[in-house]
Amino acid sequence: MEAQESTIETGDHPEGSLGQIKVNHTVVSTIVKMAAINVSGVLAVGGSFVENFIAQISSKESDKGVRVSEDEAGNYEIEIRVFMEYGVELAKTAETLQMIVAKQVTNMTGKPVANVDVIIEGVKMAEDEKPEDNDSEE
Amino acid sequence: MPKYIQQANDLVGNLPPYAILGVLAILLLLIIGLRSILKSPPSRLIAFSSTTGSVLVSRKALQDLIRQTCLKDDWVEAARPIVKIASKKINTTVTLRISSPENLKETTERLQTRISELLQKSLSFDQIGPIEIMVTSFGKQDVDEPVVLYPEPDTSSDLTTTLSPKKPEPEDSDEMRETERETKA
Repeated sequence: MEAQESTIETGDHPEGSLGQIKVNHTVVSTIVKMAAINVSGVLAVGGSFVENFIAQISSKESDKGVRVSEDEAGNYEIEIRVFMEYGVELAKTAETLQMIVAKQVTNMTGKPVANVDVIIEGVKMAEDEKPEDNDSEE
Repeated sequence: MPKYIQQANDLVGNLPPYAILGVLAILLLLIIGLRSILKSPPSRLIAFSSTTGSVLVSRKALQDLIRQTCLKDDWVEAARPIVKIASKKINTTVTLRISSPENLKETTERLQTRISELLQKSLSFDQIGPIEIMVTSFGKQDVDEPVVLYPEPDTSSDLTTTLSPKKPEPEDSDEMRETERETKA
């Protein structure tokens, strides 16, 4: 069973450790989603209908389209599925997305990101209804 | 344990035949549903891979991209791309309905070039396979005589244009109609 939370390093306290700080993977996936939808050219975050359905029935609705795990060194390994806007350069946008997501997660959690795998699930026109993305409803 | 088996046996024995058939049908549907859910993931193509991670593009994304490109053309009324990924190479077939037979050759060649450029530009694909364009009908009328057009020999890779009089298959027709509706919307 994959660990759903990870401990992040904190600074040394003069009186010793005050306790651990743990960040749930759901939190990381939320950070990833918020970072992703702010990238120009990314319309939505989400997987296919079946994957979203499975995520919903397995009560991991917030993880929809984002998978977070850790490697042996404890670094985050992130997989994100996105729908991109028609007309943008997919490769360039995906590269930007990788960098922004990695930077944002590292900034907010203090843990390094080993890799960010981007899966482009679809391409939509900007005025199309955003597919499978319920961020505004959450 | 035998007690439960006996109870189950009695329960099944008391059930009418149509109920048993219904249960079996539901089980069959569940198995089919589970198989479709658990089947192998949709094919994806690795656009590039680096130390920061890899970028994969799904077949559906490529089809969306090609379809939108085709629909941008004024002469195209409906488009249905089929992308097949085989040995890290994509084979594209686009079924088109164009508004009028005028400028047919120019339209299809223009689309081939656009699709090819788009794939190379957007995804940095080195291995773009043949792009086959098949025109199945004009406007609301089908073509009477088949005409096969081949692009200039010096054009990029294996681009093929085919004009076929045959109607799309029923499932294709539905998708084409959907595409048309989306376009009109």
